Amino acid sequence: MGHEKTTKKPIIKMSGLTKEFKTKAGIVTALKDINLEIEQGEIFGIIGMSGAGKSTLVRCINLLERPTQGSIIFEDTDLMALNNNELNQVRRNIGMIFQDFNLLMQRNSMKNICFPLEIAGISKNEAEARAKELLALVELEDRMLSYPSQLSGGQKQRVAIARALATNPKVLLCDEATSALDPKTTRAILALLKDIKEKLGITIIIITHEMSVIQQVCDRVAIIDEGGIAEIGKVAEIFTRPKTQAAKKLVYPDGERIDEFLGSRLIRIVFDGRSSFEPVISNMVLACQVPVNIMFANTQDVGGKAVGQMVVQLPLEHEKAAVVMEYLKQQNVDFEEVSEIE
Amino acid sequence: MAWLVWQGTLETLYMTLASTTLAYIIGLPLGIILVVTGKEGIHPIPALSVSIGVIVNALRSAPFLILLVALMPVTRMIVGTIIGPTAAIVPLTIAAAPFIARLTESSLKEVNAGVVEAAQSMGASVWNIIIKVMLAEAKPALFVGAAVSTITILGYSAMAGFVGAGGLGDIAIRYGYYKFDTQTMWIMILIIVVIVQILQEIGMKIARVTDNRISQ
Repeated sequence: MGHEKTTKKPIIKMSGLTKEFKTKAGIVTALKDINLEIEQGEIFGIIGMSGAGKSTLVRCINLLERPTQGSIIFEDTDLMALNNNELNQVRRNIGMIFQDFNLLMQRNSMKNICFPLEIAGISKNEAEARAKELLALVELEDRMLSYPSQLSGGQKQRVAIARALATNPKVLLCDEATSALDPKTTRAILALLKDIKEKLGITIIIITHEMSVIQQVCDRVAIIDEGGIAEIGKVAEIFTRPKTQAAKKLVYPDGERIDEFLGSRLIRIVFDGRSSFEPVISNMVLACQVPVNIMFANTQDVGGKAVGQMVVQLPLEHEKAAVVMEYLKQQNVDFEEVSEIE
Repeated sequence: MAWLVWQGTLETLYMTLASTTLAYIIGLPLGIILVVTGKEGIHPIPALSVSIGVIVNALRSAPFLILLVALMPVTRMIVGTIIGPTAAIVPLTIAAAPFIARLTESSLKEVNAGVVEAAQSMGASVWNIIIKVMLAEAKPALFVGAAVSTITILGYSAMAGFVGAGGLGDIAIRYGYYKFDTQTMWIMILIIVVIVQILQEIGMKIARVTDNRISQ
């Protein structure tokens, strides 16, 4: 009232989150001092190598794992302060899907979707009507009476998504939800998640170890490394300018290293979606009348925009190189000099 | 002879089914408690699960024939006699309950932990998870376990024949062991084998028909 907020209020706020596991070998710190705010309505990605702590992190959001320290605020509720009953009520607002789908094998699709409604005390008729709506949303009306053992992986994940959405949650947690699926099915499931976000305005948190998943659907991403957040930001940002070692490893999984091109004058040109629509390199060569050598290029489609980078070898003569760099500056093309060895 | 067989069969079935039912009333909840309150369970109470585990192990390590004799005072207190099929139900139940508890425990532990986790993520209470997830998902294994339990108890009931429990085992021991009438003994054994076959088939059939993991 009165005050206008410039930033949106986060739907989930994690502060100082630390999780330790007691093992025979001593205390293992899975997460250390995580501070993260998830905004209402965004698709937020959490990426990391296996063992980085991302699965533990997502389980802390709905307290399937209880953090050793720190707080999790969902909307205005401090989850750590709730008793079991209250926590179960809140969990109905946070849906979750898994890598292995985790459907009830003895229930058909319809009954699986009815499960969260049953435990929420909703009548059978009402639950079944809702289940039918959701089956339509995930385009599986014809498999209503099929058991999980009769469904493909993609179909099982669709049932799991419908089940997770049954209680109208505000947040959907996806724990490696596409990791057990082939690339084509993965794309279809991601497209479905994006579609659901548009239709329902739900906030989605995606845990994955695949950069391609982040690229396809996420707005923002956090890179988890050794239990901490290495980097956080807009996907296009991190994809074009990874700062940390952990981020670089994920963006260039095959270990492309610019260091390999050392030995002559190099610049790294960054495409941010705007400049990649014009033939930057050709124009540059024509305008400057200077030959360049493309050493490395990696441009990809991120959220409908082409982003990436290119490493270009410039002539060793200072004057000619300066002409090229001046041209790029004029064109507002983002670049940096990678090395200069005479 | 026909009357003897009929009488023995009825007594055996009575002892077996009554003991199995009573043993399940005790053993099933114990098995559930072992899983739920175990260290990795959905509601850990290690002190409880460990104590139940110790009692179950102690009862299971006693050979049935010893238990049968040792429990005679208890049997007399409950039933009023130590002879006859009704009296045999007491030691049979006490011997079978821990066995059933362990069998139930292992069936429930086979339920995919991820499915339990999914139910927790949906806000299912411990009670909901026990009834709607664990028992429902483990149903086929529980039916197979029930067949195994019933057959084990049938075997024990024959052993109880040694202390005059009645039933087919009692007849086989009396005629075969004390009167050297091997023919009658073999007939009794044959009937027991047939009953075992029927029980096993019924158990497996129910397990198969109720299991939705098999594409039908």
